[in-house]
Amino acid sequence: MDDDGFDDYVQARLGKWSRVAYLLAGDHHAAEDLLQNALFKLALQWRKARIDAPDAYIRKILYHEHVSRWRRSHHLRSEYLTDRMPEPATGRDMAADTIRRVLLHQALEKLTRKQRAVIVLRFFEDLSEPDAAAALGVSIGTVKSQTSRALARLREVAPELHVLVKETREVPA
Amino acid sequence: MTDLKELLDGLADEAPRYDVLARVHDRKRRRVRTRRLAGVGAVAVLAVAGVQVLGLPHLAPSADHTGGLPNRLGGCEAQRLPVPGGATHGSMVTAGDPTGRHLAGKKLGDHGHDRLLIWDDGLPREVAVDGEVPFFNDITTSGVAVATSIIGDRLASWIYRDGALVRLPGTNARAQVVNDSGAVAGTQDERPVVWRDPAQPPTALAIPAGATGFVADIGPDGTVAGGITDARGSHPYQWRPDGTGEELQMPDVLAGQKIVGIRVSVLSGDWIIGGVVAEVEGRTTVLGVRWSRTTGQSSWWHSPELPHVYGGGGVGAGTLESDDGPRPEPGEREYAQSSNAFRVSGDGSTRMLPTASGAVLVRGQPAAGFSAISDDGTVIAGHQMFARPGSQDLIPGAVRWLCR
Repeated sequence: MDDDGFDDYVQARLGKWSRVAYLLAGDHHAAEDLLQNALFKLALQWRKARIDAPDAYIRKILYHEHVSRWRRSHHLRSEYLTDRMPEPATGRDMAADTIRRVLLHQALEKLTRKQRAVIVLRFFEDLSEPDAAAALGVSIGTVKSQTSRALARLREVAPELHVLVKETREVPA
Repeated sequence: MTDLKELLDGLADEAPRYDVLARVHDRKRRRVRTRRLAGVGAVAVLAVAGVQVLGLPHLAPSADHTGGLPNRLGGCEAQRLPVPGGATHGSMVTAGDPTGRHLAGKKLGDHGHDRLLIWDDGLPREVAVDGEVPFFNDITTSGVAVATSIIGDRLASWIYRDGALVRLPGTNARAQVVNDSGAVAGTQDERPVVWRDPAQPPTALAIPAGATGFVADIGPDGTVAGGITDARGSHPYQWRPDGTGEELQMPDVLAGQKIVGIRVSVLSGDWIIGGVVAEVEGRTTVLGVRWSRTTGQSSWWHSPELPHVYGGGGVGAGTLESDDGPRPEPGEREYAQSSNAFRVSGDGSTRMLPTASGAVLVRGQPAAGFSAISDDGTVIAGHQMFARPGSQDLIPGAVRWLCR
């Protein structure tokens, strides 16, 4: 089947977009779902419209899909499912990096979807504010305010990462 | 020094390549979307849980996605709650008192500039508070409430009494529950704390070494219900007014079974009520559980899913997991033609809840979020999703269910 390079594009970029999807979704099942939906949408457009910048296109779909999925309120009190808890560091040495990763994983869960998206866009993908704004379809001002709010929230929910997040370059105003 | 970028890189290393290409091609070929009604999934789930199904909705398939669903069902009526000045960004109920008269919540604003709201018998009034993203966590029968907001990058906790909000002392402490005498419990750095005196910083409740804790409710005598999490998992727990604490034991029927998760919701009279998710013979089983505070004895009943919240009388409200049919295409929505919101009583009887007029149900999504149930189970509150006027966006709207 002639797919005009769609398969080649996916094979080349699957690793990158898998990583982004995982950071956005937080678990493998949801990440796979998110990525599959985004690639399906891309596939439908691939032959209809010439897509000059598939990365930007799929980024837009991924983030939009991530932000627009609503779930029931995360504020339900006393929600404490043990299968979501990190493995306790029992006796065995948990490398410092592993602990920090677990803490970050937990802290990201406590951000809003939009906050999580700006963190991934700005600090993982390393996008500029205008590019992040374009990906999310919002103004640069919104990216700025969401970023500072997300960093504040990370400090609040993960005081253990406080030093870390504080020393991260803050987004210049 | 590791920075955020390096940490995110490290976390992303946990992601394999998700080999979804074949499935994408497969979906492209199929493209005929199978629409399976949420109600079909609901029957299956209920059957697995062995629950008597009472009054599952029977709906005409032509139901429109807005306004076509019944707002009365199974003895309950769903009503969208009024919001002063309208709510362009949405509204939600986040807490309620045991009688169902006072509901507390918020009107959402731009960039976290939300406004707190209290509905008294359905009539709303705004409560002004400093800070962003304010949130009412609890409200009592006499209208005493606790809230949090973010000021700068710090969490601030508040007690609301006699029409005034007063900030509670304590750094990064989250006030979560309050009783009529104004005793407050919450958490500070994942440790349970109490403010016996709202003018003084909170004091820690004792927890076993190496554990973290959370609080769910505080009784008139100052007993705090909640839970602890340690290397074995999470366990329901109570702290007596004298500061001593004890773990509440799982019902005998769960002896030796894997406990997947717990929810502790409410303390009412002699009872602490919550839910337990366990794996019994390889199947996920959800039980509602009522523990006696004095004897530690428990009784239990089946629940189709873990309710979002329980009331003091044991009634729970939640949403059924949707079917796992193909997801809608990104950017598109498939509207569900029946609700997956349920109400389960303390005897295990389950019925589906109606949908507020104008609420939009999206296939694969919960039909509602629930945050409060009165002790007698006749008032349930939370939110459903509605279309923002003049747009495709969905925004939450505060909803109350009144049941006979």
